[in-house]
Formats: sequence, C-alpha cells, structure tokens
Amino acid sequence: MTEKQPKRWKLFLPLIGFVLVCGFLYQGLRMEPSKLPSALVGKPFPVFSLPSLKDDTQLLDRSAVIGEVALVNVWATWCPSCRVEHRFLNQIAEQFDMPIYGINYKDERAKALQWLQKLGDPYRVSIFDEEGNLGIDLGVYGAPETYLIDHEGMIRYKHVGVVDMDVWRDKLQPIVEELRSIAVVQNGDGVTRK
Amino acid sequence: MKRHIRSALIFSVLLLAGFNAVAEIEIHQFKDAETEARFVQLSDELRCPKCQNTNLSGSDAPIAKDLRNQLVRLLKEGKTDQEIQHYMLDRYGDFVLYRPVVKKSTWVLWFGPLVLLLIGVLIASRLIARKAIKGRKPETGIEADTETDQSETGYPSALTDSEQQRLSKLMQSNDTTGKDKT
Repeated sequence: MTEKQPKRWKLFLPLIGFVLVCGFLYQGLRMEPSKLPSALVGKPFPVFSLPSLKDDTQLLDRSAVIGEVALVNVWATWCPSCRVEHRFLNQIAEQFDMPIYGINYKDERAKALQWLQKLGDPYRVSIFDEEGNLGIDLGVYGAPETYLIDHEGMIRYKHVGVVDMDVWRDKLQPIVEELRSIAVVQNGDGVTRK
Repeated sequence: MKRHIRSALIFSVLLLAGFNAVAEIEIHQFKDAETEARFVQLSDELRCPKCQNTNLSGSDAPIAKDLRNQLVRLLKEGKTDQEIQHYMLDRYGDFVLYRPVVKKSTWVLWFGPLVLLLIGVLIASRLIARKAIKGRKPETGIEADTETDQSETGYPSALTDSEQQRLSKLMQSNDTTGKDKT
C-alpha cells in the first residue's frame, strides 16, 4: 500500500473539478444573457433616409445626427419602459446640455406626437422609423435602446434598457466626457461642425 | 342519431379552430423550391435576438417577423447564404448564429468537446494499461501452481505482490492438509 501514497493528490481531482464548475455557475447567476453585446460598437452610424416625426415632408439622413457627441435613443409609445425612461432623458438633455436624437421605432405618428407633447421633448430631432428598417441596421431588438455616437458618427457605446440617472452617471457620462475631449483636440471647438 | 349530431358539431368546431390557426401563418412567395428550402434552413439556423433560445422560424416576436421579412427580401435580391449570415452578424453579432463562425473566441465551443474527449480517452487508456501490467506481474515471480491458477481464470489479479505470495502460501498449506486427509 505504501507505493500508492505519492499519488494521493489525485484523489482531490474530482473535488477540484466540482469547485471549478461551481465557480462558473456562480458567475452565471450574475450574468444578464438578455443583454447582447452590440455588433455595431466601433462602426459608423448606418446610412438611412427617413422622414422626420414632426414633419413627414422633411427627409432626414445620417448628417442629421452627426457632428457632435450625442445620444441616439430608440423609443416607441408601445414600450412601457420608454415611459419610465422619458423623464430621465428630459433631465439629461436639460441638465447636461446633451444632444439626444430620437428614433421613433415601429410606432404610430399621431400617438408619438401626442406623447412628446404630453411628456416633453428631449430630442433635437425624431426620426420616424415606421417599418423598423433603421432599427434592423442598428441591431435594435427591443426598445428602449440608446446609442452613444462620437463627433464623427462612430457608435461608441450601446445601452439596452432604461437609461436612468445611475446609468448616465456611471456608464454614459464618463464616455461622453472622454469623447468630447477628443473632439476638442481634433476640431478646436469640438461642439459644432455642421 | 344524437351521437352523430354531436360528433358533427365537435368536428365543425374543430374545423373553425383550424381556420383560426391558418390566419396567423405568414405566407412568403418564392420563385422556386430551392429558394424556399434556403429560407427554411436560414430561418432555422438564425436565432431571434429578442428571444434567448428560439430560432427565427419558431418565434412570434415582432423582431423575428421583421427579420424573416428581411430574409425574404435578401433572398429575392439573390444574396448568397453567406452574405445573408454576414448581414445578420453585422447587425446582431455572433448571438444570431446557432452555428457560430470558427474563430479564436469560438475555438472553445468548436474544439472544447473534442479536447475533453481526447483527455478522457488518454486517462482511460492509461488506467487500462496500468491494470493490464499489474495483472501480468504475478506471473513472473511466483511458483508454478499459482501460475496455472491464473491462466485458468484469465483475470488479472487485483492483489499486490506480497498479498499474492501470502495467498499462494495459504493455498499451498490448504493443498497439503487436503493431501493428508486422503
């Protein structure tokens, strides 16, 4: 029996394996598999040509949202979380002088206009994406979703779900400030190029 | 007669229920059976981004419906399967493919099981080989009568050398007592 002693550590292999699996599973408890990493981060904002929500004769394209570090928010009146989010967007637009562009996603124009009149309008411009084609080009799979774009129109960050003040402070604002400082270095003024 | 009426009623109700179901099925027109087959395969292999584990063909989510329509459009435009997969990948990332692309970050998925299997085979073969060696060992160093015993049973011995020797001694003494009696 003495000859087997040096290999005793092998008896602990199953236990070590068990602990490793437990570690992986424990980590899995905190993951949110419903939040997908965006394939669009690091890519330019897609090309589009869609009417404005407020004026259906006015066609908007990519240049309407590009020029500053900005948020592009995908919303709809059928989306309950968007209602929750709306007052935070109002606050962010007002308090932090943040340009926010809206994409009214697969919605009805009349309802959307009524919503903006009642709850306030944080958007510089709202793009009316009735068919959801811009949504598909952006990789939208639900509302609300918010994209952060830099002054050259590159998508830098995507947030799925409600943007509230915590999300703004912890995730969006630091990136906005960093991107704004880069824009200042590149343009001299950094804010308006249009 | 009453029974007939009843079954006819049930039958017609079932028929109506069937019509209801038909009303919810989308109809896509394709130019040939081959394109249709490609549509079926692609919508089976693409995952609905809103759903955790449903493919495009199996999901009722509005986004799945939109993506099915995109699929039809892309097929009509004559795009290849690869182009269509790239279209989806560019927008929704690796998540949309049920069969992920082979690249560095998916190596674990593709080759992990094979590596585990190889490790398993390696361990198993080493264990088996060791047992086989142990089984053969006693044949060499032990007396003639135990050797014949072993070849009769054919099983490798689970005993160590010292135990084997003790056993053979016991067997011998047993043999001699047996001889004494006769």
